[in-house]
Amino acid sequence: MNYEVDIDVGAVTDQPESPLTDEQREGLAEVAKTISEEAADSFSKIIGRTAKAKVPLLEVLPLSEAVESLGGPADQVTAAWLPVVGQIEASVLLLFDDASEQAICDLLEVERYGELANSALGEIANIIGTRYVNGISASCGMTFEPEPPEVASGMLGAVLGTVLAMSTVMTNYAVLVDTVLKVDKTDCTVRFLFIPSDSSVEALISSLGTQ
Amino acid sequence: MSLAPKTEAAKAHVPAVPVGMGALAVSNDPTARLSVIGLGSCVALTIVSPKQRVAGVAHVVLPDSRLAAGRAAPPGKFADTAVPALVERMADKGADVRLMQAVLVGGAAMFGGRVRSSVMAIGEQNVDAITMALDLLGINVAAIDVGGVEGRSLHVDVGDGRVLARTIAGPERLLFPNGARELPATRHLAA
Repeated sequence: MNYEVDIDVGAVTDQPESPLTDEQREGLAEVAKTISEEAADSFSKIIGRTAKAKVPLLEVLPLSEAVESLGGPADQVTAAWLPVVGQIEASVLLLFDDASEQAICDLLEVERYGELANSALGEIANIIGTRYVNGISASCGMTFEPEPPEVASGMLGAVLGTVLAMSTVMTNYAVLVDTVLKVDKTDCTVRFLFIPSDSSVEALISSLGTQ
Repeated sequence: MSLAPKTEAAKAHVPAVPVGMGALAVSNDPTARLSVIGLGSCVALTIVSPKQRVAGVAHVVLPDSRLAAGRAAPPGKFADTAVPALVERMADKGADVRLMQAVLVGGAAMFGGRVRSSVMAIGEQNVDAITMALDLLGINVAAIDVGGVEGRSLHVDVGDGRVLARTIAGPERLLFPNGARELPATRHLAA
């Protein structure tokens, strides 16, 4: 008998249409770049240090690969999640790795692992997320806004999987706008994801840059 | 004390096969280990048939395939379609449905506040839909470790049918085979 492991992850090509054309990708990436610089500016003001945004990556990933493309699924992270509601549905997710969470708590002079730390991380997410979502909303002329953030700590796979489960109901791919904000002269980075729900991707993309 | 498995897979250091969101994996390779790392609201459905050395895992994301509105979906994504797909593929590998044993792990609600109810509902609905589909096929649920607020990881060793789970900070726990009798049904739903 042959011994084997069969694995079936489905296929992006099973989808009736490609989620984004090259032109749409470029359009979304351009909008994301401008807004991420504004978000970095907001972040700088909160922490009192200069933070810069790396050029955002726009990724369209098969669902089964989405988590691992962003890091080790067992990695410890603290995440702040802002569901976005209105004419489109989306999520904003800020991810803080262990060292960065400590660095931010030090900069803000709050004790880590406490309510205050969670509250501070949530507030950072709220300010950055709101700036970002408002920027996208203004660019596409649609009305949507973030709800208050919720903060959780745990494995990257568990946190991200929970958000992706609610964003990829109909399709087998995840659309992620992935931005890294880095604080000058430190190892402190914040990963910032904008994840439109699959039911909203088309409406969002087709109206981007129309304003 | 670690419950590290003394299987052929562990001895041979065979890399674990990751089962990503919506994926489904089945194996009759006695050295293989199937793994799901970092389960939040998703549920890992494991079915083992130790006598025949066949095991499979579906990484279930959502409860009902009707949510896809007719679009194609990965075989493990929806509970109602993942269960028959997993059983059928195990049968293709020689497993007897009458000897199959199921283990459910995951379905946590990690986020609190306003999003807790919707996330918790997904985890619970995943568990309920899987349980119902297994019941239709007459497959016993031997162990269940679901709910709560912490993510989990799962390993399945095909050679001896061992199923192990852990949270990020907790010890590895044996859910199947022997642990099933020692552990209560741990459906920790958060208050």
